[in-house]
Amino acid sequence: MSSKTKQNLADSKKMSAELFCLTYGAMVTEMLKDYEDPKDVTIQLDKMGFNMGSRLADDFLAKNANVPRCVDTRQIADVLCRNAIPCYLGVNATVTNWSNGDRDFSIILESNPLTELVQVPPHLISAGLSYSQLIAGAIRGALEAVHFKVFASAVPESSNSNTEIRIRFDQVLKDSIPAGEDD
Amino acid sequence: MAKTTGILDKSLSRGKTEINLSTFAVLFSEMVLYAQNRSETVTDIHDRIAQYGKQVGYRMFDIITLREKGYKRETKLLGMLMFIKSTVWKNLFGKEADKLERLNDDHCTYLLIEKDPLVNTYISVPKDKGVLNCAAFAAGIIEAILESASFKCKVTAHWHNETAYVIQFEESVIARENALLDSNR
Repeated sequence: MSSKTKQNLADSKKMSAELFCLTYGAMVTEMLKDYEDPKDVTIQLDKMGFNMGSRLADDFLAKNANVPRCVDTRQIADVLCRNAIPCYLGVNATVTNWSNGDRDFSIILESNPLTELVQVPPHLISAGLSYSQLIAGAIRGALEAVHFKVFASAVPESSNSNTEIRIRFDQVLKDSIPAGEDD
Repeated sequence: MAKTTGILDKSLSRGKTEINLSTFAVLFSEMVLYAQNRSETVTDIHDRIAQYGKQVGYRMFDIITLREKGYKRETKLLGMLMFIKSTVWKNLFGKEADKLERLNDDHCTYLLIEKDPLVNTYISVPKDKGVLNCAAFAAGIIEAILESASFKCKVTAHWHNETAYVIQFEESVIARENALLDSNR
């Protein structure tokens, strides 16, 4: 727990979650007008998430020097749920549904700051809009920044359940360990 | 399928939840980037960002009047502007806006001044787009709020050492305001 309080001290700048939620909503709304197919919006959101994730990874590493290098997926999942997600989304998350020899897992968000004031119309969901894909993209981007290639997608949500992000570990990217460095 | 509970069945949150500023900063920068990719001129970018702001403003106005004022709406122009300067700004950005002024030579134009807007903190404007001010987002929010409160106006963000939101009311709004003041006299 001591690491958590330290983290809060280092990073106490906070802002209204509602403004965040509505800003995101406004952006998605406008994107739905710009693209004909909601599926394209999902793809675009995934890309945006990816960019955000790789920047947040830098931010995270700069502020959390005490987080050790991860060696397996269980550790990755642990850092995501214990440090990264509470820090950047302000919610608690848990890992479940391990399968495929620890390569696949799900992260369940206790609540979702993106959907706090939002109800996604059912016809858009069935047309392929994945509203929370941004978070999945961000996880993918953040992990790729530390050389883990994963596939992540937001499991289509029904309004009364928590948001689930399904993650599949693909590979450790080749240049993950710079030459001459071993620890 | 079981009947799901809609968002309207839940009670409104108290709005005290917070999120890391970095997360918002990267989201906002992605949004500006998106607006930039979809537009050709700087004016286009401005308009797009303001449009996003308006979407936020319409919704935020409802939620704030309900929460803070028990759904009582300001009808006086000055009261409304003060409401934006203090209550709205506190709800959105955690602090009041710095100054509220009226132009001397134009009775329809007011200025809301903020030293460093939160939305501009993490945006660096490229040299070739020098006039771009991402506070257009906040300008959109103000415009939407005043519009919903039936004070028709046009809000733009300008930059002179500090960000000024120039609120240009329509003549009819000012006329109504003056008539209201006269009748109360």
